[in-house]
Amino acid sequence: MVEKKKKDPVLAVVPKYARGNSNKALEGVNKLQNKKLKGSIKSREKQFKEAAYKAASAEILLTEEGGYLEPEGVEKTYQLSQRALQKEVDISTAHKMFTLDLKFGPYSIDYTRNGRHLLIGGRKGHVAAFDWQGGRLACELQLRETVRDVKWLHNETMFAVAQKKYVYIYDNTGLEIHCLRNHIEVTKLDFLPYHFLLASVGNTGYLKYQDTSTGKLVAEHRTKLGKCDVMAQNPATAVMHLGHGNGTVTLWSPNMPTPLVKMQCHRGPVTAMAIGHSGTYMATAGLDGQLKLWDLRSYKPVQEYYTPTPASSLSVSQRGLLAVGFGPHVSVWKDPFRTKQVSPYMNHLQPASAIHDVKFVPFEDVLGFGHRSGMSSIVVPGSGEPNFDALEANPFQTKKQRQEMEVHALLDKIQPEMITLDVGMVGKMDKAPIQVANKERKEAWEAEHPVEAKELKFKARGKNSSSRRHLRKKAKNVIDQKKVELLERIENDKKERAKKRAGNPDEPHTALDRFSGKKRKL
Amino acid sequence: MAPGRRGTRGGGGGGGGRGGSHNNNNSRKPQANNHSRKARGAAAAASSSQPNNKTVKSLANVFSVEDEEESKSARRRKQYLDEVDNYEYNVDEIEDEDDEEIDSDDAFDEADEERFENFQFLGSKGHGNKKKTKKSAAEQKGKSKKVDSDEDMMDDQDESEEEESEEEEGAEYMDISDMLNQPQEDDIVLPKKAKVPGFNDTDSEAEDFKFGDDNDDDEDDEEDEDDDEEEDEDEDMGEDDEDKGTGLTSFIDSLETTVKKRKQGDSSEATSKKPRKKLRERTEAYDESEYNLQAHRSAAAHSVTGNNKKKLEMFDLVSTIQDEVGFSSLKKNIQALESGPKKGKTVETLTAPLPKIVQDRLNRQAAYDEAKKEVSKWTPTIQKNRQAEHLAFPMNAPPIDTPSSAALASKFDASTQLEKEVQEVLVDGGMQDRKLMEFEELALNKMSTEEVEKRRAELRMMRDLMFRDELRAKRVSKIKSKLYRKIKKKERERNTLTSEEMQELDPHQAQEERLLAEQKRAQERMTLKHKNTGKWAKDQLKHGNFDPESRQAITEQIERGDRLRRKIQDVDSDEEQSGGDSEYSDFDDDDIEGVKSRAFDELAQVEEQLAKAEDAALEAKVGKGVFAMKFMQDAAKRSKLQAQVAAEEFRKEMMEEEEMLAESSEDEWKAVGKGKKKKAAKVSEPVTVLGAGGRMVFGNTAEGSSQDDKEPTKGQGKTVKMNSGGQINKVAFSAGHTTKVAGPVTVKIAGTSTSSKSEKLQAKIKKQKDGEAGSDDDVQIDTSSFLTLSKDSQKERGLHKDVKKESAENTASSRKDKKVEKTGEESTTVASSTVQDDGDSDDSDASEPEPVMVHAKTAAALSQRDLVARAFANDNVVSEFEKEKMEVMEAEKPKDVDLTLPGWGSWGGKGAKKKKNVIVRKAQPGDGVEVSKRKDAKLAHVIINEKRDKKAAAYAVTRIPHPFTTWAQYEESLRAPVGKEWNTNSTFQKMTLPRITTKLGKIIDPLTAPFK
Repeated sequence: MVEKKKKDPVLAVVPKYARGNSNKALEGVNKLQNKKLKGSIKSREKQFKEAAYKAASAEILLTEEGGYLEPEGVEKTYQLSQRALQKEVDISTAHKMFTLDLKFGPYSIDYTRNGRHLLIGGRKGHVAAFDWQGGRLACELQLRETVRDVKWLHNETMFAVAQKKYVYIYDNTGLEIHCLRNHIEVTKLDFLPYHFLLASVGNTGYLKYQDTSTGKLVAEHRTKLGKCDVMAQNPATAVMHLGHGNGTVTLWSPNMPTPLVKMQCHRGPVTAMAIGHSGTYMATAGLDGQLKLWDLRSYKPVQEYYTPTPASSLSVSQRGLLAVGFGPHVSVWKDPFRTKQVSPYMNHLQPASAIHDVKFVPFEDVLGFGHRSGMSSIVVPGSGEPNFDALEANPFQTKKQRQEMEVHALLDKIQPEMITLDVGMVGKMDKAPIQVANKERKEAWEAEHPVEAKELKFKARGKNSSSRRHLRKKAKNVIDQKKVELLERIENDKKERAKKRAGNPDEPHTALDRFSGKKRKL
Repeated sequence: MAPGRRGTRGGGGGGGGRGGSHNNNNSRKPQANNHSRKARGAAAAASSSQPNNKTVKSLANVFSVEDEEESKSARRRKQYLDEVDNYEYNVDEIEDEDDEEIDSDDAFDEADEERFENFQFLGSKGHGNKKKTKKSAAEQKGKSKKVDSDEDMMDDQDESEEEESEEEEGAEYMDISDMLNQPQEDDIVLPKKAKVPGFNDTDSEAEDFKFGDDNDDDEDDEEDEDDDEEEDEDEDMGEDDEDKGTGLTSFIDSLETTVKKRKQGDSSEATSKKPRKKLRERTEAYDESEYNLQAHRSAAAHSVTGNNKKKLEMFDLVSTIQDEVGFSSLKKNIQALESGPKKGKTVETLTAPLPKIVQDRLNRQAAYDEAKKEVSKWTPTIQKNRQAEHLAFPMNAPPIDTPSSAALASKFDASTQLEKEVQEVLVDGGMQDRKLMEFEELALNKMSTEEVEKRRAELRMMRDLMFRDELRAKRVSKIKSKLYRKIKKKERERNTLTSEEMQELDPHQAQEERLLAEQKRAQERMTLKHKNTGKWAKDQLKHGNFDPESRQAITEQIERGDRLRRKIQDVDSDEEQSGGDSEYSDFDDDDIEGVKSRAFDELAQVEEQLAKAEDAALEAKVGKGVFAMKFMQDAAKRSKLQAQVAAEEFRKEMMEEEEMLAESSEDEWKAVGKGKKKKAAKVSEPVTVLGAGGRMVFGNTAEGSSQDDKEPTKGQGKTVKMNSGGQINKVAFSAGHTTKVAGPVTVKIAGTSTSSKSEKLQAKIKKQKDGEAGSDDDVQIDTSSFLTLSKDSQKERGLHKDVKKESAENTASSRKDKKVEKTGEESTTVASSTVQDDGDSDDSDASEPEPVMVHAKTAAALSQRDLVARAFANDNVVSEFEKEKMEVMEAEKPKDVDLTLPGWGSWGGKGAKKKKNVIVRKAQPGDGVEVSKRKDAKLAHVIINEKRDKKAAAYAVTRIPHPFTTWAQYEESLRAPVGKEWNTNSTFQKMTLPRITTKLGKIIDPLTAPFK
């Protein structure tokens, strides 16, 4: 009897971690003349393979598993109300369903990257930051001016608020640290965590990038499309997407003064936008009542939906759920991008209120949304990523870890120039024609070695004869014999020259004499 | 100068001999080199070629001997010092000492001599010995003779010598000039010797060369012996001196004269002839061995005395050892040596050695080869180190031994309370390894020896058999004979059961086999092996290789192909219909019946199978095995029951559907009649759906309905095109804005009729299109959406739906549509309500009405679309966008630039000729992008920036980095990330490990040779 070899269960997972095709990379390697290169390629491929295997076998450490609501029989998941759900879930989860009734609405909200801290900003000036799970308030401010948007920066110690005129940065005690006077009348804020860039766009239609680590204004682009209040970042590429009044969506990087891509997405103004975590799908909502889902690789719409009323806010969860806030409703859609959905995954009604800002909480099955009368949080099973990378975003971060991570993040900061549509651009081949490359190189060289403009020197020729120099050096007020002689001589010389220049007055005047200054005898 | 000095030293009794001996000692090396200088006695001759500094040295060495003589006369010393300035100091020192009084000869008297007979001074190597012997010899001579007279004579001689030497000084200068002028014999000989040894020499010299070369090293040792023998001989001579006294004196005289003559060169003609002859004899080749020396010395002595007969011949010596066994070869050699010159035979001379350059080169090459061989031993080691991914220094560090868990366990001793408890529990449970092993051993022990023996024998036998079988299999598999294979195959075929037989015997197995066969058949069908398109078959056909065997094979193949291509006949059902129509069969109304009947048939089959299975189970019950167990039987029963229930349900459903079908079709028709009487004509306008196969399956659709209407379908009405994937390609009315369905839409409706509905929808389309025809704004009507509507809604509702309700709703919606046309404002709410009605008609009673998002391809979206079209009717955003895109495309096109300046270098005005050489700067690559090559060329709604991102380009690579030869190779190397964010910690560390790591403070030893 031949015993069947047990297949390694890890091997099934390996393709998920394999980067590219090893066979393709090894194609034609054996024909290489360079033995050293051959060896190095082979060993490299071996190493890659090993790395993939190791990564796959480390999947065993991802102990948590995500799940969704599972309907039985005629049950529909979208019929399940939060109240009903509250009875079923455990206490800690039930605690995450709450509503804050606040009268300074509508509220915009933001969660830190680890999902632990919440920042809310009411239109009428109310700003509060707190550890929402622990229920600890960090600070609460009444700014007494319009607050259009709030945004956490790299961690919970700092946040930016788009106020009536400028953008301000506060620390977690509510102390105002900075006032960014470059950002005027900002309606939307976003933060690129790997580049430490605070991006803002507002009524002026300028997209501005400010480096929060150095304080430098990295770039400001005029969109030329007027007021803009829809902005989202592509988490995979750090490209900023703006939604405009004419239904177009533009994609921006700090490098280019013109948009990288401009898409006509809606017939009416774009009202909301969200981008999936993989960066491949984008959801846009327009005032035309449409909700469109786009594939950002081909820039083609994959699905189109109609919302009863134009959607005011969109959000994509870590596991790809799409939350749509329209009117007082929030509906959550499961797997909306790849397949056409007939019914939503979950529905929620916030009575007598208009939804302003929906946001999924990272690493939690919770959806938070700000509305006209405050802020609410509902449970959406299966929305959050169950396993977290503690070095990336740690929900259970201690203070020390936070500090450590801040330093590391600053050390690992990426330059804004690296923001392009193509993520793997760095280190790859420059595909531009050689002429372009040469020209650029030349320009760069010239920029480095500027030709200094020579100062024009006024040279008074003949005014610096030896006798004059001698005269200059003599004391001015002393007149002796020598000096008198000298002066005389100079005078004579002068006369002589003038005489010479004038030429012989008896000679007839020629045409060329006009150049010598000879006066015509009249 | 040198001869003069030599002369002074050479003074005194037996000074010639003494001095000669000293010189001989010092000149031993040069002697070894100059092979002609064998004459030991002829010290003066030997020293004549000595370099100056050597003599100085020799003086320094022997001053103790000589100073006595030197102190004799100050004048002489002065002269001496004048001559040799450089060692003045040394001599002075010694000069003043009192102990000079003590003669060295006296100091070392006979008694001492006897005592220190065998003593040698350290480092002197026979020096002292020789001196002593010489001295003793001289003393003996002196004693035996009349010493006084002798001494006087010696003094006289010395004095005369001094005088001579004084004279010589003057003469010497002359002498050198003479030497320079006159080519002496020595001069003639010496250059020869100075050349390459043995190169131009006489025969004897050649011989010398031969021996001398070999014995070079031994000479020193030999000379010691020589000295001893000399001594002996001298003593002998001392004994014999009574009768040979006269001979000896004459010999000494002659010696002196010869010395003098040698020194003086040609100064005296009378004496010059004699020594010359002797010199010649001396230069004769004699091997520098004990025999030769002896012979030579004696020969010299004899020759002086004129006793030529007594000259020792080689033969004399050899003859004495004739009897010895080992000397035959030696004898031969000697004979050859002797006979050579005597008999005038041409003895083979040595070939001339190669020129030094060549020789050196050869030596170098040889040395290089050797060195290379030595060095090449390292190559594997070096290669290994070079290829190693990582080198940790110090190398070969002793490995840190991490104890294995087993090792730790074996050493484990429970010490704490907890450990003890655990141990106890383990022991109680019998979970200890040791115990388990013991148990097993005990089990073995229990068996009797016979049993064990038997078992072992059995095992052995099994192993043996297996081995033999394996061998056999190996052998058989190696057989290449085709005939053998054919026979084997036939045999196998004969042995296998036919399917019928199989069926009878084991139906389950038969079923499996059949499945397997079918799978095989499918695979075979997929491949082209049977199609005569294979390499072999083509070859056969091409070359007309028509031997019966191959022809048969080809026909067989063709047959097989035929068989495979034929449709499989279902064993059980014979209702396979015409194959070509099968794809479209679903479109026929009649075929629905067929489908249904098939379904029923299948049901019946299932039931039959169930029954069979039961039988089988019963059969199985009789037998033994897992299936006979109770729980298995229960499970089987359960599954059977389930299957039956399912079958029953399905049957019921089918029946219901049939009923519904009849009803609905009636109702729908009624509805249509009611709602759209006016537009009956339009409604009935036929729409053809051209489905080109694929996955689209319609239950009862447009075509069906048109058939029902009995109206001609071709050439009329609208055509909705579908692609093979079942996707509906929309007809976009605006060029700029098209929306496409990405996912394939599959619609499966099993038998329900929606023909009327679909028709109605077509009507709607028509209507809307009519409405839009007026407005120039381009709202696209997605015809597919209507089709999908019907399907989707049905899918949602399920099959057993109240059709009445549906139809009512449909009519309602149509009515609402009319309303929409009237007022925009009102319609929003209406539309939403429609949506709600539409989406949740099933459970509308359950929950309060809720507005719901709908997909753009549902019916509810229709009104929305309409609304949107109206709301944004005057926003020409799309056309503006298109315009912008055109502009951008135009601006980014590569353009040629005309660089000519109008009016410069040419005449203007009327009738002016066009300039000939127009300078146009052609568009360079990278100047722009062709419209067709734009990334957004096929995307009407997208403008992609084609400008170069210079800032990002700084991070791109312009040239292929070093070891790589192609971009692909390089970029492949970048494809996997190295960072710890993407890798496990171990991988990260391994990937970022430097190639060489060293331990701080550890000495890195050089490589140890592994081959030693």
